[in-house]
Amino acid sequence: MTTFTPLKQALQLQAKVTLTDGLDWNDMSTQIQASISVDEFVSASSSYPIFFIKNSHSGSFSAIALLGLQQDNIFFTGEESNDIAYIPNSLSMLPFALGADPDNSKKLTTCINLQSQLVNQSEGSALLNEDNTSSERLKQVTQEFSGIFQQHVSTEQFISVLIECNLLMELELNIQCSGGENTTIQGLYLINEQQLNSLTAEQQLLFLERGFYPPIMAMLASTVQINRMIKLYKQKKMKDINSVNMKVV
Amino acid sequence: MTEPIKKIVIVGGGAAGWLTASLLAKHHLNNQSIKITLIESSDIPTVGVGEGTWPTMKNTLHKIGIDENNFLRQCNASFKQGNQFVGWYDGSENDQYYHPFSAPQAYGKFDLSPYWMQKAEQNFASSVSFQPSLCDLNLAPKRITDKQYQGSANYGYHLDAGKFSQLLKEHAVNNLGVLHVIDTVETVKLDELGNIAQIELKTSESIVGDFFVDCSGFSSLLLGKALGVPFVKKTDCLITDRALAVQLPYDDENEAIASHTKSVAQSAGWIWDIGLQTRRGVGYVYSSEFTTLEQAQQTLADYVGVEKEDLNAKEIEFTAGHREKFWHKNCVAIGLSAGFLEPLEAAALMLIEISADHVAQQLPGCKSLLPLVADRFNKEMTLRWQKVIDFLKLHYVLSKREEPFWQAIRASESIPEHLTQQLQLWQYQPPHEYDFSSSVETFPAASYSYILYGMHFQTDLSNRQHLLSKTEMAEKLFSMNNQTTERLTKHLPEHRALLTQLKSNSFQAI
Repeated sequence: MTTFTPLKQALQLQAKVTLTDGLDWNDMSTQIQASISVDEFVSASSSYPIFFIKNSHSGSFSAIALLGLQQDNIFFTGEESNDIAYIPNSLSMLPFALGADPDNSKKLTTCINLQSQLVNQSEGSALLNEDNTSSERLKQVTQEFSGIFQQHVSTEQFISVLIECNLLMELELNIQCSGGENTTIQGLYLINEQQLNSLTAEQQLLFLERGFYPPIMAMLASTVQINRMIKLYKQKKMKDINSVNMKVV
Repeated sequence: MTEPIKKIVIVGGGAAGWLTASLLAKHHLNNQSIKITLIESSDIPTVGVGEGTWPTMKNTLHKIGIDENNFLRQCNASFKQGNQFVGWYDGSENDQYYHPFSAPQAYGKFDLSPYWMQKAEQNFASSVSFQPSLCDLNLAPKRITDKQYQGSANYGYHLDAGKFSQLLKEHAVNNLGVLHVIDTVETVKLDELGNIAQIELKTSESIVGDFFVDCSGFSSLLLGKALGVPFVKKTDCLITDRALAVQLPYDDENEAIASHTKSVAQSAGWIWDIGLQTRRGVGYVYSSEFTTLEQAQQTLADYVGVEKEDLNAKEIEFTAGHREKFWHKNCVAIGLSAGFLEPLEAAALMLIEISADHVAQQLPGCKSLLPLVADRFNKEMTLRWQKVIDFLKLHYVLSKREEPFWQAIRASESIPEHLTQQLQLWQYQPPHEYDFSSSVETFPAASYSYILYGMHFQTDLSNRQHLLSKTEMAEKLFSMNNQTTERLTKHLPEHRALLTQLKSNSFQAI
């Protein structure tokens, strides 16, 4: 697990935080899932299966791209990769992330992974200018997060409407490997197609007006990415997965 | 006489009235022809019928469509995982046992109690159920990620009865279409057949109805007063007749909130101690024959740790018993109008839930069928009240306490015959579902086992060795219980922490 420190604490902790340019491929490869916003569903469905999960601290739902079937990551190897169609914002922002503000648990603030290979105290460019003002890079990060935060809010609204319309169902993935080794991923939620088809005309109109159908369709379609993941496991000789069963619980 | 039943009138607006209104309205939600009116007097304060519920309340709230988060937030509610009885056996220092809401491991498939008797070193409840440990540590029965009305351990609630009525009222009126009339009942008019025809009110127009529900509390305006159904006292069996109740703030905002009701035996009765989110509710149930008001106040003051003069306890007088019939003609009584028993084991709200649900399910479409349904309802409810009385009495009869109150309440002539027979049987075999043959059992056999073996009751198994033939299975279950206890005590949050978290986070519907 990556540990994030609120940036204001990090800057107090270390006299100087400097950053090497580029994506944090190494840290990406340690993530087993990537949080995504509803705006990203269509793009993300090109590459990963999309699910909802419950946050273990708050119990509220959020959306993720599943990156592995064995508590691992099959898409990112740690090296720079050119064959990935879409990288979720939460991964491309690394070593930065949004996290709880230590001064106000209801607010989110910019956090940084101080263990990241991109972060050090000498090489690269400093996050703060000599006069303690934010560097251009930091300004850019802050601005991108304000956009991501807006998307986060619209994702919450999207999910709350789905729940109100009784559209979520809980799933588990039963993964059967050759040699009789089986694992189960629990606590995944998906849209219930049957319920989706029985929405009232009024609800359908609301979904159309709010642009809910594209992300819903993308999410439903994204589950076939599991088949691609099985192939990737075989190709990379990481695991021989015979089948993955999706079971409604 | 096939007149349809279209207009249902409920008199009384406490938890009984609004729960009944909600269950009836929900049941008939898609039936436009049924109209439900609730008449509530603004000048009669509601008696808080009790602050504890059974796990049945989860289903009831879910059924009528209340969000568990709203319920917990608006009713100052907390979770209840069972009852703890302190000092009931002999009053010695470590005299305590639990009646948890979660059934014993493998309950219904495999009876662990005979095997536990062979070990007889550890207490019964924590050998067969993980829940007493959760209560000891003041843990919640669920996590924030659990669905509404579901948890790792079975649970009911502690709640503020006044706020609960308010929540139910808003829900019944705003979401379930119940008509709310605020006025005082002046006279109840009967028709020539002795059915209730209409209710005349102090200021507004009279209300006619086809079927009436009496939720008017102790006064029993309809069933007792208007229809003259007599009250049957049960005071020879349950001899307590007074209660003193106080509300206390927590010492500080971090004080642990118990997730069970504490029932602490005293010289002439017992004290309840219930933790809500922002206060405790504590009260002394006693017999006026064995102590004076002054002494009772002193006992309660000593328990809560204040001077008697600063206690400010509310006094409640009651008579244990119930109406001879609960449904007569076109009127059914639910709640205190039907009867009252001391709040040990918090059966009051549960009996309301059961009665209201039964009426909602069984209320016939036309008046000619009323006598048939009434007869069935009366038979069932009489049995249920009898079972509750038996069960409450069981808590007392196994005590070895020496005070006059305790000697009087376990006197053999005061024990209902049915209970005496059961106790004879249980001397040679543990309680079994077959001992509770009726389909309307209120408490499962497990509840009886928790009380019996918590009170050190001895069952002689020398002629029942066949009950001990699967030792391996039993050992497996005992060790499973230990593992579950260990896992849950590690993973479940503190009760207070979860209630605090509910201010900003919610249990999801799925």
